[in-house]
Amino acid sequence: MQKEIIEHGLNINRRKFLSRLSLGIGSFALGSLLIPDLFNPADEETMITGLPHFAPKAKRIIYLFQNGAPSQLDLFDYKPLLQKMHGQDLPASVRMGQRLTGMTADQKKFPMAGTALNFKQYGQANAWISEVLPYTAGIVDELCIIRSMYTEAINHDPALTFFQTGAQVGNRPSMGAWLSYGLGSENKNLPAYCVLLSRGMGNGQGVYSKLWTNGFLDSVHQGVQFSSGENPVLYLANPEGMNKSDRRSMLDKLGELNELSYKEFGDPEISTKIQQYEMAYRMQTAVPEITDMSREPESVIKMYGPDCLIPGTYAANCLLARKLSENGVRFVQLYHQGWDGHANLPSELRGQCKDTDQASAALITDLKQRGLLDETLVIWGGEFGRTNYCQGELTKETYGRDHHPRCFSIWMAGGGVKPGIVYGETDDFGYNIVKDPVHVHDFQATVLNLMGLNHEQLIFKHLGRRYRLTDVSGKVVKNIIA
Amino acid sequence: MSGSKLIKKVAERSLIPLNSLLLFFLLFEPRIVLPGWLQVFGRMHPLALHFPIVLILIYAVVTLFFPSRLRNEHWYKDAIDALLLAAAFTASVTALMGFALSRNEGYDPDALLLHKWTGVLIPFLLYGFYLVRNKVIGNIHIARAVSLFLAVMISLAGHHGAVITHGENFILAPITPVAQRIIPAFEDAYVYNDLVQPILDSKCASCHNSKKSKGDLVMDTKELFMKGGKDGVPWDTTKADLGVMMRRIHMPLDEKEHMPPKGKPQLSDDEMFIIHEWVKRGADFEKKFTDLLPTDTLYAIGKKVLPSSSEENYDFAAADESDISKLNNNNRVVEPVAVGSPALNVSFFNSALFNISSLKELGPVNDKIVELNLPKMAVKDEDLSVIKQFKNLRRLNLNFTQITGKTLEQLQTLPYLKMISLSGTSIDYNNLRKLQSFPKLRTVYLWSTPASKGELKKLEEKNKNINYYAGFTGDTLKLQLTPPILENEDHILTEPEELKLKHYIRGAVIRYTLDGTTPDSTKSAVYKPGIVIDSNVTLRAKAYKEGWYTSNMLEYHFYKRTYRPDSVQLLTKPDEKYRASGGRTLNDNDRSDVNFVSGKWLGYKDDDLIALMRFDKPVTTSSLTLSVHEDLSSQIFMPLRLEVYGGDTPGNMRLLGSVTPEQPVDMRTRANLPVTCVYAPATVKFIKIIVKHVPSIPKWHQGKGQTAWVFVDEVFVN
Repeated sequence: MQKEIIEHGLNINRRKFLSRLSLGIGSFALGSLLIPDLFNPADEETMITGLPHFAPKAKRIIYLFQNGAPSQLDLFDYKPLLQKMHGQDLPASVRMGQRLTGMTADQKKFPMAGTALNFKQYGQANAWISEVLPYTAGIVDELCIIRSMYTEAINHDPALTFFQTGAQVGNRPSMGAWLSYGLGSENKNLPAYCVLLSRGMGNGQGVYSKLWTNGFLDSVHQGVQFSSGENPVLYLANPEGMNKSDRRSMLDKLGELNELSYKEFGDPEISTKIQQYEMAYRMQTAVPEITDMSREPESVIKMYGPDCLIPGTYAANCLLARKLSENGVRFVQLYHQGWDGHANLPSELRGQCKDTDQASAALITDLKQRGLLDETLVIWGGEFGRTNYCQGELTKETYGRDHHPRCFSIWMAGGGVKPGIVYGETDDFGYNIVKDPVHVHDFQATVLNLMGLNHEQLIFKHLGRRYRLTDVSGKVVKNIIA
Repeated sequence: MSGSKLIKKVAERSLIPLNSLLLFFLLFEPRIVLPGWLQVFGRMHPLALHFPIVLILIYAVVTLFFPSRLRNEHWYKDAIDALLLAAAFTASVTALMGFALSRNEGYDPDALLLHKWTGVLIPFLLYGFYLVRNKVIGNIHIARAVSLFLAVMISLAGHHGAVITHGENFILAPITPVAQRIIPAFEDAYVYNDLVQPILDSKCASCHNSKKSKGDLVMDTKELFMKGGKDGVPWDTTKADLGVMMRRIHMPLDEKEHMPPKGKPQLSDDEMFIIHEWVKRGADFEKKFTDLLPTDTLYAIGKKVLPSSSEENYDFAAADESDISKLNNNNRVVEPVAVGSPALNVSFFNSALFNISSLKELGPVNDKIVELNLPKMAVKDEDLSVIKQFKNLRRLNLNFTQITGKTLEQLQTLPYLKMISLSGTSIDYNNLRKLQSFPKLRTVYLWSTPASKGELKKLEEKNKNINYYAGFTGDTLKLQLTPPILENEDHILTEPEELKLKHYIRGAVIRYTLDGTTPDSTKSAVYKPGIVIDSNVTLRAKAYKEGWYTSNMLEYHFYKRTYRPDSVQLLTKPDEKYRASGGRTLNDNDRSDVNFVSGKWLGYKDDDLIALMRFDKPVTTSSLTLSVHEDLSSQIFMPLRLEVYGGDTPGNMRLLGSVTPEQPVDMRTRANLPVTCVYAPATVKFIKIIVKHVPSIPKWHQGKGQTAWVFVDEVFVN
């Protein structure tokens, strides 16, 4: 729009330009001197995709998304005041009018619930970690624990969508799709964005393909969901009777037909389809090598826990994530369901952590011992936090917590993040942030920055508006970058 | 006298006093003190100098290139005279102004000297030439020589004057390649050399070096600097103002002793702070930033100013884009580190297609590669001779290659190599020692190699700069095996099936029983392929392996149906919610999973389940098995009792057998379980079953006293 207004102001159109040709060119030059951007729009048509904007610290990401929202007050954020005030009503001065979910809106009282788990301090940052995360405590010196995350969304779908796409409304590209668009895949034989799902025994909330969608970007950038069964990629092998060269000549002919179709209709989806067929062909050679777990040495199996060989478990997904990442997949995202502790939280949390703690820590160690940790960014976290007051019945041993957007904890490791620190602080009630808040957009801006991308320059023009992952806000959190 | 003649006379007459004054100033320079108004006069030197330059150049051009044509013009002689006079006059005035200006502080003395002497030569020369001009006017060659000489002198004077105001190399600066000072990474940087010294170099060293040492202070080397000069040692941490250097730096600008001198480029506040902090801490020349505490302000400043080791300034030119794109294929990726960066990252994929020529082909760009990733590729010891040519390499990944380390010393010549990963190779301690002398190496990854943790510690102690990381070994860790996995899919056997058990962990042994007993690590049968299941059996299996705890038990029920009733009729109605497909449910081979809301169960609470099965052809039956569901937390219990009746007509049935299943005494996980009733063989056309539900839940259960449910989904007649 800016450009159109300027052009109108300069009163340039073809007729006038031709009529005062000699003067016209001069005035163009004057125009460009006065308005530097006139001939050099910082437009996405000229944006170079495929390379980082500046030297990146991380080349790949593994995002361990804990779906359902793990309770930060029982894992990373120790609040002894809650234990002292166990059962007392949450003061209105602390709550400050925070909106409630439909589940607790009818509660007359909000009795605070101190954690039933034991916390201890670990590592050079003296980070508080609860007893259910022993393996995470063991690698705490590699982690940057951020305790001051916050979001606006209070329910799962909008919060998940917000985290993955930068807006609570749907139809926007997910983080992985943006990275695929901005950086592409390192290994041409594998997709740039892979998604692995697993499910814990706790109260689960759904995950769905909107979270790894390509939105309005080219559908090549969609996340490729691997199946949770024995064969992560179905129908990978050629059927009986067809060999590799047959397959190749079939694809060549199919490609020719699709090209004709593309010339006639110009639908970009056709070109995407051609690319996907070619990618599938290359995956036929690349994937079996990666999904074959039988050759992993016993020390690796012991490190992740023997569950890592059972397809569909979180541990197996972590191991597969490491293998995909070391083979050049730009963004591997895991979703583990079951953290939504509205009731019976301590025992559900134990079960969830038993499934995930060892494997998450093993992933960090595994990457480090292969020399990959400083170029791989690993993120662990959910979509929001949990309340410091109890939802439902409160006893000394068991309680439930509702959704809490105002503060929650995540951790990041590797890929240019400062190791062994704790960033941000919440108040003694564990309800509000008192130091260094990090909004979801700030988190996204920082992640893009670590990958060498300026979040304000990775844009796509759609329906007349320039979109970016961080929507219209987001500041890079420099203090957690090494 | 006409106006022009008057002007000419005045000008001529003034030349003597002007030049004499100039001579006087030059002779007594050190004692001259100029009043303020004369300094104003002096500041017009940059304005006035344009006149002599242009006038002399015009004279030179005319004399050198057009003498013959113009000489015969009648106005020529007067014109030349006027030109020369004007040039002489303005040159004298300019020189006087220049002299006044030169009394100001702050000019680079060397440049000033050159400018002054070439500059004052001009007015004297011009005056002299003017005096003798008539004598040489005939001889054009003298005129030309003199004019050329004047032109050259004015150019030199002008050049040196410009050097004073604009510095050396001003004109060509945009295109001269700047010799980059290599800025080290923060982790390697020294506080003095890389933070303090650059400030001193730019603001102090021009007057305090070995060629020119104002106040006898030389900053070239540590020793000379510390020695100090006329005013003594430059710093003294025992004093409150930290010594003469800091005192002078912190003085107000107008003080005569303030450093740097007025008129010269001054230190910024940040620069003053940095030098102050460095002196305060003892003016240590040897300390690195990493020796300081992270909370130290100098540490923070250094971190901000110096690049971290990942942001490097690469000082080589970028490779040709076409060269780079030619080298990219499906198995080798060559790409720049970022937009506009000359540095390249190279990664290899798909080990089957790799050979040494894949590395050699990188020849055209091999000095631009900063990262080389070769994990799992067939790289051998001799291939390191190719890699050693990649002289800008910073990171090298050789995980799981065939490197033994025999030729590792070849990489020592790489001046920037800072990380090498050799996990999964057979490199041993002796070959690892070669890494100790690598100049910039900081991190070595060695997981899954022969070297022991003790040996790595020894290496770290000998060279504190290198960090050896061994990773996870887990030899002493003992974990529990996961249960064996059953591959058979269908519980219901329509024909004999082979039992297929497996375990993901290599070397695990599976022991199993089919008679309902718990497997034992020594007595139970070891699973081998080829075992066939043919009847109703309960499979129980566990996995065993040396160094692991025994797994939990796998339990699975196989059902077989020899005879299929032609119709099944429910004589009592099931609960509204759990009706499934009526009588057919018990016959449809459609078993449910452990979910009681699957819609495949018949659920009874207030009634017993009574079903009548009809066989068109009489069958000889000796056992009957029910598939029931137990979900204690939902109050679904095993049947209290199963009674089997048989006969040839529905009205004439006799009891064939009954069984009272064992009830649980505590909560257990929900499961689908068989209830089997065995009896003496009987040939019948009709079978009736009565499945009684538990009328009163036992008292150990939360719902004690209430009626329990019973859920059935299949009946197998054998």
